[in-house]
Amino acid sequence: MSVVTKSFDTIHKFLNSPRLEFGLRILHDPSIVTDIRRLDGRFLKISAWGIFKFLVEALWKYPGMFDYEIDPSLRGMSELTYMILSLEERVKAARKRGVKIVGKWPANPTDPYFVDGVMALDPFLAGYCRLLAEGKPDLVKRGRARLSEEACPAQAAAYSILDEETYPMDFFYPFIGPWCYDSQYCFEALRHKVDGDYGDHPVFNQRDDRLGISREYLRQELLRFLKRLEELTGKKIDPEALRREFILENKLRRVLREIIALPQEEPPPIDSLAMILSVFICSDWLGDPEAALQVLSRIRDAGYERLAKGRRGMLVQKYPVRILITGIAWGDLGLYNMVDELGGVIVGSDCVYNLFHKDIDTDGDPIDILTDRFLATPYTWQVEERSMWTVNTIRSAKRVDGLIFNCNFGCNYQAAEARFVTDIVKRETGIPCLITDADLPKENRGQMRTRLGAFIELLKERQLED
Amino acid sequence: MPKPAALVRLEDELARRPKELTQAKAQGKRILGYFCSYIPEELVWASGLIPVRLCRRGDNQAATIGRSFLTTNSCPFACSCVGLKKQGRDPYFKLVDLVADAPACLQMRRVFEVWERYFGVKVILLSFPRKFYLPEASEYFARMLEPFTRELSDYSRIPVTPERLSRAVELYNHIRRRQQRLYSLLREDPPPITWRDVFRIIHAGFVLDREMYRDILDELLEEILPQPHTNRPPQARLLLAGSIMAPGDEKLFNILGELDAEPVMDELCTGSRGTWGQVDAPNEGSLARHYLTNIPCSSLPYPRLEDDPRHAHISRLIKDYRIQGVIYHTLHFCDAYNFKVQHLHNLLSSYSIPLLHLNSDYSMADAGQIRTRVEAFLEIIQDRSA
Ligand code: SF4
Ligand code: SF4
Ligand code: SF4
Repeated sequence: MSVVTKSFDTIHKFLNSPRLEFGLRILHDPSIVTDIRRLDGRFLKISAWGIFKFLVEALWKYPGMFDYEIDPSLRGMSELTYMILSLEERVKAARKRGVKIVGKWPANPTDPYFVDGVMALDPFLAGYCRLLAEGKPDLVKRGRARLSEEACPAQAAAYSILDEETYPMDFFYPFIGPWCYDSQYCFEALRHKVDGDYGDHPVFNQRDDRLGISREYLRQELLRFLKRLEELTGKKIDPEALRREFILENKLRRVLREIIALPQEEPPPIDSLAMILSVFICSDWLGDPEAALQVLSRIRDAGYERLAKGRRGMLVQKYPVRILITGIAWGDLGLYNMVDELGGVIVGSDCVYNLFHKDIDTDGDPIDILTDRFLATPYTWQVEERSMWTVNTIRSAKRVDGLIFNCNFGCNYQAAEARFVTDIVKRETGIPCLITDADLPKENRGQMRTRLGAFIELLKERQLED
Repeated sequence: MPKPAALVRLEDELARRPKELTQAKAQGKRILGYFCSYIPEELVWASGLIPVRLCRRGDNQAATIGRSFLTTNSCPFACSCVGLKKQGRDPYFKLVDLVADAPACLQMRRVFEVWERYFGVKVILLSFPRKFYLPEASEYFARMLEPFTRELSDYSRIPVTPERLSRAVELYNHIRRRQQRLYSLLREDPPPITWRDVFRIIHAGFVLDREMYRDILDELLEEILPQPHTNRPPQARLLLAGSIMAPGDEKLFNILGELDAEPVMDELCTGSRGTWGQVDAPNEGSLARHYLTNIPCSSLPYPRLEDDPRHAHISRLIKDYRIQGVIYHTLHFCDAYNFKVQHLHNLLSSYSIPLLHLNSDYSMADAGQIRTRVEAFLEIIQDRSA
């Protein structure tokens, strides 16, 4: 290809990309620009102007993020986009100020990690943020070349960002056991870079009468974990500060539940991507619980306002079918856009909903509270109970027309439950279920479009019959 | 060298065993199956149940059936454990009345869930900690052995009395000592027995009546120890390590055989790993310590590189067995072993020991490629020793 054709091609691509649309919107819709609010979080303090400036630069610096159709007129979305893209810079800045960066696995409850002087970093979601920013899967490919060709995309991306020191980390301390199987080995493979330890959540039978002994062991493990954090920061953890964190994170959990409920309304005021960016990518608070609360509350309120006005989310079609995702949410954000275009809307993602499906107690001994918090995570339960939890989520939702169980390549934790869960959901609720296999972002879109299209058609036919 | 009579007897007993178990079942005996070597077999034996380690390589068909219950991302061993039960052809998989699960490898947890839900098999879950290096984890494991034993006894209706447990610990310690003796013979050059034979002998211990097995081990050692060493010295002193290699998983061995090579030692959970150490007293605490803190399986992660006990163990084996090269054989999607290759490679490089990593499954599709790689690896070792 000659230089001239190449340049034309680039210009053509740019003119037709959602990036330009997003850029034009934030540049030309004054309400979007004037609507951006300053963020005043724990580690993150930035003016509205700072966010605006960052986003304009980001259009060129992080082109990958704008390959997706993000709804910039949904208030809070610009700030959320900022939080996703700035995570790396913010983690580095916090560390420079002496904050200790402690690694966890996405689903491990955040509450005990955000203690005084610590920022929790989930390298798997951080890897995703980086992938989003870059817009190409090289990070995963490099990770696989060094870790294993059979690693799931999240593991491979996490491995890359830590092995290549894109993100700093002082200590890893994921809780392991009935959580993601591979994270334990991924952190282990990074021992040459990061010191660490594990929290031991034993696998035990939730149904039997020996819960007490296992619960006590887990409780002691949480104490050992907090002690390690104290050693790391040189600061004593105040039980009352922990309680304040629970209260704050309960607010976060509540607002996530409120956001997740929005697409179930008629018409859905937010589209699938807006929902997933809020509840999936932000489920670990993107390094700053207070800032996340500000952003998520704005998104929720904007959703409520649209609802009151009967306005649909940006990509949502008329009378979409409602689809719940279980297993592991798609890492390819383009698929959420696709679902909307095909006439569906995603009404939740179990893999994160199982973390905030209820508040935690705030009275009583904080360690007891934390122990119960860990034990109340349905994905860690035996498969029968975990499946029934999904069944109950469907039953108690306003509306779920179909279930997608997504399996990520390389995942043998959730993926191995696909048949169980879908068999039980079909038996108990009668709704159609689809199992999808996903890997690298932007891969197999054609095949996915065919499968999702057929599934949504089926759901629509059932909708008409009803 | 003619086959030792004890080995011939072992083979005969193995051939008879399925029938024997069928008869035992007809007489009201119950058979407990398990997959992972973290189940303290002493307790199963002491409860009067017949322990059978369900450890067979599945053919590709069994693995494919298993995948339809699990995922294409599950390791072929886990898939086979489902497929073999579904097929109902393997006598041991067919005969077991109940199974016990110590979820060291979490992929296997799902296997038990399939057995329970889709095949209606009773599963006893032995609650399992993962921080084997933490004394509190052994204490917890010991406490969980109590209800586990109760459950076994409820099923067999035979209480695990101190006497029965004492006999069991003595029996299994004896077996381990004998197995260790066999492995120690492989240090000699040439050894009086081949590693392949030792590996097969260990496997026989998964299914045979354990008291008879002990006697055969005694006979065998008596028989081979005074023998002149007529085995040829191996062309390269290889250590075989990695994921589980179930009985019947012959692909690699056939390739090695064609190239006139064979390991002199293994670091496998179906080989030497379970033979180390002794249970120091007949109680739950000692059993828990032995099983949890002995040579750890890679399914249990260790957070520090500098004092990784697995590395220490492999280093010891390299020294004791004068190892010249390590074949690290992993099964597809066995991340517990696969993710560790880089660190192992670095460790071996520090001793100038070459490593061959083979990541495979139960199909024959990659046999040619494996052969080429093994051949090249053997050449490297020969060049180095020359
Ligand atoms: S996709 Fe599966 S293996 Fe990968 S991080 Fe998620 S749970 Fe773990
Ligand atoms: S490889 Fe490890 S987890 Fe798997 S059966 Fe052997 S000891 Fe158990
Ligand atoms: S440790 Fe590896 S080979 Fe063994 S069952 Fe688990 S995944 Fe499979």
